[in-house]
Amino acid sequence: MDGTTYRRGGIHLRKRSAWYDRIARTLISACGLGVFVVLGLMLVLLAATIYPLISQSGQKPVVASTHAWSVTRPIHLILDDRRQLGAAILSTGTICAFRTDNGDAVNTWKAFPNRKLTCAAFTSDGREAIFGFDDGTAQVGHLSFQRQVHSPENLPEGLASLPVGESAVWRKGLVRRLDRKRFESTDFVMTLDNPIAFSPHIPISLVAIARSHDEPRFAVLSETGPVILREGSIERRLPLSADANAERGTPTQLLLSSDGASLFVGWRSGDSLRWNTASLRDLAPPELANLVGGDRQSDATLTAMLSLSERRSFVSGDSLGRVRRWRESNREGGSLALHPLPSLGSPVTSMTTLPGGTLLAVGCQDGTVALMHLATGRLVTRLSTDNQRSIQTLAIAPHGDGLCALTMDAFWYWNMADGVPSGKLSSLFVPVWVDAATANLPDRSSTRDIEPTWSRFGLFPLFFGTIKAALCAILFGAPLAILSAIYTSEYLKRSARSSVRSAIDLLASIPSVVFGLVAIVFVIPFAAAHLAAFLAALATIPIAVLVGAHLQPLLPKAWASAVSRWRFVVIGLLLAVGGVLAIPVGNFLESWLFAGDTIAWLDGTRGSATGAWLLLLLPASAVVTSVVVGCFVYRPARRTTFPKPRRDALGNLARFLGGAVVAWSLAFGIAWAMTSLEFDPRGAFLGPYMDRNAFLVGIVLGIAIVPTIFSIAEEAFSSVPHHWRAASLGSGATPWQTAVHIVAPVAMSGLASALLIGLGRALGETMIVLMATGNQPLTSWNVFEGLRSLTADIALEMPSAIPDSNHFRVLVLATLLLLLLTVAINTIAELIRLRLRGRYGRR
Amino acid sequence: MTSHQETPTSAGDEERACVSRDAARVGILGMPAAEPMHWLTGGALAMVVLSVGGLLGLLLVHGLFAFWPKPIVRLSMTDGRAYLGEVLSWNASPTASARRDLIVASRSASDPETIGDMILRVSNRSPSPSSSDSGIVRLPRRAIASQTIDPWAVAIDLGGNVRLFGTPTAFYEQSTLIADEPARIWPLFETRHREVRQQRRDAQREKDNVLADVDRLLASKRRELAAARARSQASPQAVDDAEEALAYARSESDKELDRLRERLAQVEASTQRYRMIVKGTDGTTWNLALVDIVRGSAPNQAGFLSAVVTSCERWKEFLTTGAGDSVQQSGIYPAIVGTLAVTMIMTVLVVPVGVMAAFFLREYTRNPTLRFCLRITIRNLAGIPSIVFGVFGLLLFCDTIGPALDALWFADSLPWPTFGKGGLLWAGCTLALLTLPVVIVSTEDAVAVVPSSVRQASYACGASQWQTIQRVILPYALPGIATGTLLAIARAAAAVAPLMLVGAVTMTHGSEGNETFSQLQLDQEFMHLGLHVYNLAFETDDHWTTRPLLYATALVLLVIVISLNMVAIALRSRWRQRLAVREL
Repeated sequence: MDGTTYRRGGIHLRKRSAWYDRIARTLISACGLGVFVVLGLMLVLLAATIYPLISQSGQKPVVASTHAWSVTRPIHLILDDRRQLGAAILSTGTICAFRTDNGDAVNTWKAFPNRKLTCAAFTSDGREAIFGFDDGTAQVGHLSFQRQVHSPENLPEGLASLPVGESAVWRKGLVRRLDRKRFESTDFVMTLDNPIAFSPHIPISLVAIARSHDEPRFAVLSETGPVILREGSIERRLPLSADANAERGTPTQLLLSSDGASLFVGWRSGDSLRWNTASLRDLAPPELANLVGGDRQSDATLTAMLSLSERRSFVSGDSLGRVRRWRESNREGGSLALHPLPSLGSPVTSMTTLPGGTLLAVGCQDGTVALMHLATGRLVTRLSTDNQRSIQTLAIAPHGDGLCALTMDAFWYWNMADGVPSGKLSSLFVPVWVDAATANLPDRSSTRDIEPTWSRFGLFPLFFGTIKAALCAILFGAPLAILSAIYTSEYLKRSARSSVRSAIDLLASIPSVVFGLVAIVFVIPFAAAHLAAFLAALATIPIAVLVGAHLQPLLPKAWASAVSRWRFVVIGLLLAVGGVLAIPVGNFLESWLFAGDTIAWLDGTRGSATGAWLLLLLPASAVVTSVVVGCFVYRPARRTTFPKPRRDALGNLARFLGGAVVAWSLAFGIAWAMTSLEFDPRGAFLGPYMDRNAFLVGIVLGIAIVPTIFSIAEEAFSSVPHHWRAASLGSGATPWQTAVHIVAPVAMSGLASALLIGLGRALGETMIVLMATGNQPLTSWNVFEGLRSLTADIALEMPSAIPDSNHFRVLVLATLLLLLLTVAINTIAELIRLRLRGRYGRR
Repeated sequence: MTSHQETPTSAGDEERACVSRDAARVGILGMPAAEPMHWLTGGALAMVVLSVGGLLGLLLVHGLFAFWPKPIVRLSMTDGRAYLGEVLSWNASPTASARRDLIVASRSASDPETIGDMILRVSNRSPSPSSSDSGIVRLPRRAIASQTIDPWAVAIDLGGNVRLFGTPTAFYEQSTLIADEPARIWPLFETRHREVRQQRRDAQREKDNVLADVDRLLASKRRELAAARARSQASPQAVDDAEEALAYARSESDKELDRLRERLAQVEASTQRYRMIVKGTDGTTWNLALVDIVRGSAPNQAGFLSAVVTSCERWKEFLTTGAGDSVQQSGIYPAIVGTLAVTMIMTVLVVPVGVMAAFFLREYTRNPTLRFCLRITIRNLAGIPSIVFGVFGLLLFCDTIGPALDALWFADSLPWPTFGKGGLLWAGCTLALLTLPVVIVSTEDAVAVVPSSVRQASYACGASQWQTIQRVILPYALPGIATGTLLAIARAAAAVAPLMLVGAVTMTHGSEGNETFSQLQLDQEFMHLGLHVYNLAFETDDHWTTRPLLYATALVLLVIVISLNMVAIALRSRWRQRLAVREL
């Protein structure tokens, strides 16, 4: 309101200022309410993005096209990843490429002009095949769809007017218009390696192929003679005993597991022989198993077998429509474990699955196709063809978004929702088999070689991982933060408090990526090298501090008061002493309890379980003993009228040491008893050690959430009125008693809110978990195993997810759930905190 | 009972006085009673403080010494092989599988002195870190027969991650031998090397200048010609003139370029004058022209001072250069620029909005329910994981608003998106959402302590609400707003996860023109310090050579974030104190 405006006259000024006022009011209100808009928009946008997922849920695949087709017995079917072109390999050796939208043949040719095809087998990704012929030769083939982009000039006139998105037959494949200027052609190509002669003039009856290394590994069985297993130039012959053949007839199935490490020969009766072929050098004799038996209906016959892309597991189908999934145990010479899948009631004729996927399609003789979710073992849906002819062969499109089936006289094609194979949203949240049973994954240190398809099909392991990491962090971080807050508010000088707060603020400001870096570069290698010392430090550090506390009153008077003046520094030194002591103690414990090498001992194959029980029981027994001693044995020195400080101090020290011995013996006694009862906790909460594991993440993440918990807890403690505290101290309670019995109950809601907000931080933390956990979607409670959290999964997969795909939507769903979870936690915490503030708030 | 030194200073401290008296009484009667829990809680706090200190100290030491010259050793192994190279680690713990094998093989092998490996960087001629010729060897300490430090071992960088180790044996000028012992070669090398490199740099600069001049001249003539053609109806004569001028300029510039070429050839010949012979292990010798050597160092000769100088030079280079051929040799200049740019965009967006939202909460609403809900919402926004903001930013900005803008303004370049993908602007917006609660809460705190008497005085003078805010409350709350802004900047500089989704990339290339601020564009992808740390930490192919870069990058990030925070914290305690004094 300077002079000029003043002179212009009151009314003018008032008008203008009122106008400004109105603008300001509108703008400021908009910004204020904008906060609601942000949160609301967040919820709405995320929900809108996942809406298609919900609306798809429970939908059956729809028949996109069906077309009469008369071909002689197809043996293999393959679809390209855009679901436009398919190719069928017929038992006559003819290959027919066709359009999936109307079944028109695009190109048909005879692949083996001079020989008669007797059998064929394909790798689990369907990209490689082996063909057996009646002249005793076999030939490896490579199947692929080749794609090329063309400009309109290179295409004939008729195609140039093709509408965008439509396709037409051109040359020997299909051409599709991408946009105004670009066309894309797709051709099915099969290239063949040189034929290999196995048994001159005796027809090959069965073949199998797998690829795990540079060279494909394949097995061949002629009508007489042994199974020949070959990889590169190495060849092994596995004889089938003559009487076995006489008894069972000729084998009907030959199968290699997808990594080539097992070979099966199966007979109609369901008997099978299994060789462990992990190394071709020394082969053990085969194991016998029956794949259809197991109950009274033994007249069933084995009709189909399929190896799954997961290591060493396969499915079998029989003439009663039973589908069974088998898994070889990881151990040498282990037996087969059976996981029954739903029974279909009609003979199984054909099966197919996707590499890495968990969807299994089973075709039956009654013309139905069953879709099963392998991870959960549920029947997803059953599709029927109208004419009830037997399903000859099946194929799933590479992205899991289409299904194609051939019967004797017709071709069927279904569109499917991709990514959520069970068709039901709820299948994302149930535990899956893959993780429960595959405990011994190879130790992977980098995140990069994990396929996104793993978690694509289930959020359960991710939720599990998130909660496991957050729990570990809370278990380590919360006591640290709350005890620090008690010390700051109850013991520390007022002048020192602000510097402590600044230090904690400093901790809060360290970027989480730096925590992750510290975890990777310093903590993880150190723990891997000195695990026993690391574990021992968890005990030696508090013990060192407590011993120091008990020794202080025994010092000469001048020293004792010096120590109490420099207490914080002394405590720091004691921490260092505890840390240094951890190394010899750790070495001692390692050689005594952990079989000389903790990491090897954790595998559970050597050493005794006593150490494991001790690890689990010691904290509990320490807490129990200290409570018992504190309540029943410990008598505060001040109760006596004429205190004898030295005697009291000695008594206290004796009590402490006695308590420690009792705690140790209690834990050791129970551990010993449990061990002699042959209970071994290794495998449950403790187990094989991975370099990047939940325990270390708990420590680093725990430190990272200390500031969050500390600041709220400290605020809650400080807001307790001082006169309450003074009254308690005045009646002779020690500061600790005051803290526990007076301050903590009053500040309880603040503490609860601090813990909740800390939990929210731990759940939502991304970079630390992403960098320090190994990112394997495992569901085991073993604290020495890695995990993959929701946040890390989003960060890893979101950048490469294709928008509008179901994969993207599932990731957004994960985000939405994370958002709702943290919003719920924060709202509760905030309500608690505001209530507390209203009651005891500083004015 | 540390409180017994405390004297009550104000009326509010009376309760504390009781505590001190109580504690003093105990102290007089005897020694203070042992209070284990007192020590244990203190232990917890000390643990936290130590972990802060340890973490910062560890990174500080590793970061500051990231470019410290490492000694070159000559190792001969028990099996007769010999190595000459830089020591990356004297005693690295062996890989997990090797360790297991060791222990399985012999139980007595767990002697810590012999179990470790020595990591050496030896000469390599291939720039690729993943090839077998990466130059990193891991040697079990048990197999080392002898270990000597060769005083005249030198490291020669040839650029492109190629480094040679050897001893200089001869120095030639134009094929005449000048020196043949290391002690005389090396000083010669250092002066001549600097000289020829400078010559080559000058020549390069001259070439760039001349080419730019010629380009500019020709372009202007061409433009004139085009303009003349456009006006050809009016004055046909002008076209001919312009054509002539262009032809003349062309011939002139051709001459100029010829002259340049000649000069460059001369310079090249003169820079090729000096050559040095370096002898490696196994009798290999390298005949190197001085001018091709990017950097030469003799770390075993270096004293403390020269090590400091070398290390500072490397730091300067690291901070001011852009992307090299690979992650291993790149500086972090683009990452610093990217971080600063995205933070600036964020600040410009978040501060006005956050401050206004806080004023709404404090000054404009009288409705307690609305206020309550608003507070809860703000706390919630503060507690939402940053990755959720990243996904939200991706969905809202890159997938919804961006394509709309593209359709409106950049329809020409479709289907290639301009704003319909991650970029600086969208990253800034996402971070603004992320840091909004920080600014609101800080501002609200600052506004809350403005005495109501001041406000009422302003109203009593007839000021409107906006005038009161603008002239009275805003100046009062300014330090608080500044604190909030700094905290928000620090939080934004530390946020990595959301940026992974909205446009931060691993490497940008200099040719795309993001080396300097003036060339930054709102729609382009950018590098970020935090993301760079993440990428370097996961660089497993070549982690022994990327580690120093990792420590240095982390240190830079930490220094930026922590200094911002410290300033903010200091500022906050300053204004709180001042307000407290004023209130009295």
